[in-house]
Amino acid sequence: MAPPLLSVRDLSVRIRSGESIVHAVNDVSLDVEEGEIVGVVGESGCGKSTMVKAVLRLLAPEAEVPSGSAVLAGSGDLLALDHKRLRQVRGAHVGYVSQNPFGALNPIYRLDRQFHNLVAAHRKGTSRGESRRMAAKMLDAVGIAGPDRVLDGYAHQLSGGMAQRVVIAMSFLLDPRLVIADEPTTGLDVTVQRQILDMVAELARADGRAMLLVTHDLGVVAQYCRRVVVMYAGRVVESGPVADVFTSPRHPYTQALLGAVPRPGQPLERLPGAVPDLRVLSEGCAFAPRCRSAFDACSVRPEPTPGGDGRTVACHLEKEPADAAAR
Amino acid sequence: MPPLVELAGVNKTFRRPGQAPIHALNDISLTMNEGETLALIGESGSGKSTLGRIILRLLEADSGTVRFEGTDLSALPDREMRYLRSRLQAVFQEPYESLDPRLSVGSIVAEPLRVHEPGLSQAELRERVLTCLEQVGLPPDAAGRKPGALSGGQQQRVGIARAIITRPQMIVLDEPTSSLDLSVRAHILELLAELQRELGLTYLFISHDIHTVEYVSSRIAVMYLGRIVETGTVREVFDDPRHPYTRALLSARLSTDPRESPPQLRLTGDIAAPTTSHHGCVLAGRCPLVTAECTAGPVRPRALTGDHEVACVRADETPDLLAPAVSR
Repeated sequence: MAPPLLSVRDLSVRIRSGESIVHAVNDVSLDVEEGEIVGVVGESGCGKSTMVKAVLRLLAPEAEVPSGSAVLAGSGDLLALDHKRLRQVRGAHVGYVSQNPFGALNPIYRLDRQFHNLVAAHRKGTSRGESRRMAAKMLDAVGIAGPDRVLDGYAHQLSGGMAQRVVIAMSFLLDPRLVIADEPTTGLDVTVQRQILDMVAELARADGRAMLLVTHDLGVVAQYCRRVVVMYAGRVVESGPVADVFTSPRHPYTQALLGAVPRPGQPLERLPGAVPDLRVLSEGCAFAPRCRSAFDACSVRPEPTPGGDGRTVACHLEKEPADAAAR
Repeated sequence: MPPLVELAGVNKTFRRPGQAPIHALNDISLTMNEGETLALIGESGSGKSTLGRIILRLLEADSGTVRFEGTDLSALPDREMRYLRSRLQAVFQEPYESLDPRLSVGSIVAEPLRVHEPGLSQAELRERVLTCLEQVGLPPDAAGRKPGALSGGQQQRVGIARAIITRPQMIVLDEPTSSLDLSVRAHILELLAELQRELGLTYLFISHDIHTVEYVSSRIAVMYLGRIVETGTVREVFDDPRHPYTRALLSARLSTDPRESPPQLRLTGDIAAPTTSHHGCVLAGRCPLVTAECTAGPVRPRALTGDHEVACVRADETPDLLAPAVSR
């Protein structure tokens, strides 16, 4: 089997916040294979956005990465690249779509020029006419009718849905093998969301490309991702094929999250308590204080354990199911 | 008994100097019965929040009537309107932005009481505030804290406490859980259901989240570009959506069960600008069933079976409108 397109190993991120240090991401490992979309899911503060920003080297100066690697096939460890090489890789080999498309577009340049700058930065000597042809073709692929009008205009003239299409077109423009998208459709209306996700999914799976999709929306994961990584308190608590994880979740947090989705006639799962303070690195399982199945073993942190079926669960119940069931 | 709320022929246009007017609401007629949860669902710009604000009389309608317990609100003198305001409260989407950061939670929750029941003593005020905090699941010591010291879920509980303290009959809930995480949302939805049972509240639940709407509401009104295109009980609308827009909206919902990927109806193009005035059906430009009849004149809601009403001349053919399932 070919090595994964992206392989993240033991990635940690610490963020200085005043006098204290927030352990935002802790020992995260995940793989993205060619042709698949992998979802990263969790609630606010679970570290999912920080984790992908670390992979893309887009972290704020207060953040540091004490350990870990993120190997992109053919480009090496993204975390170890020098700045020159990083600039070559970002945009050309790995694309990025953020939640706020307007933050990714320059308000004072016509879009045509922004597309040209992007192409020219990676392919020196590309003519204006050539970059415009590439941009128009990509805009057409993301469902923008009349690309010329968009290219001759400015970002502020676009609706939210159109702006996100433009950013997606930019992220796929230089044919990167991997695109990382952080909440790409959050804030968009549901019918627009569907159009954009259908389009992105088609692009991402074509020609051996792949996508890492960060979202808090379990429906997006269920319908568009092949595999899922569930994060809680900066750690991966469960991962595996969506078809298995979402139909028979094994980690109590995954179970609670899926149980909190409103379904008519079924009581909502209400998790007690709140997310832990990440300034304190707990020695036990971070979810234990809110877990109804917690037992004495949970005072020691459970390691993510592969089950041989492509699933990994970080929970002591996995090792002692009979023991736990008896409680 | 008259309906609790009755809107007839309500219109609202926002006029801006030098710009095209926005037709926010067009000929809206709607009734709400005591004790029910009516959900207003639609996408950005559909007019659902404007409609909520007109019922609260935070905005005045240009024409049409809004009746609360049979009384025409537009004809009401200010004094009586002030009394009615205590019967009709609101909870908004961003809890933090709707709470004054400088005041303590206790003062925020007490504020409506100071206005509506000015005769209360300090001790009575305090008592009512503490009771309310308990009803929304906040500890008594929350009264002394500032909103900034609370989590998003706790802030929304403060917003709810402030809404129930005047013992209202009805609450307009404008996207009350949209900015909350899934596990926090579950607590707030359960709290709202519990308060409705205990206090006999009527809710107007404004939301764009289809999962939440199906879970909380008894009846639904679907809005598109300032009009109500379909109304009915939650089962009538979800099990047999008859307006092509409703069908497109509901079929765009993403199931969290990977085994379920129901066929989706896609509309062509984007939502028209709210500055456009429509002679006929508002969906005509995007609808796969469009015929000459759709643009010939206004399309009024007509009754199907039960409570189900739809503003579509070809509602009988909508069930045949399906697109192939999404591929994984």
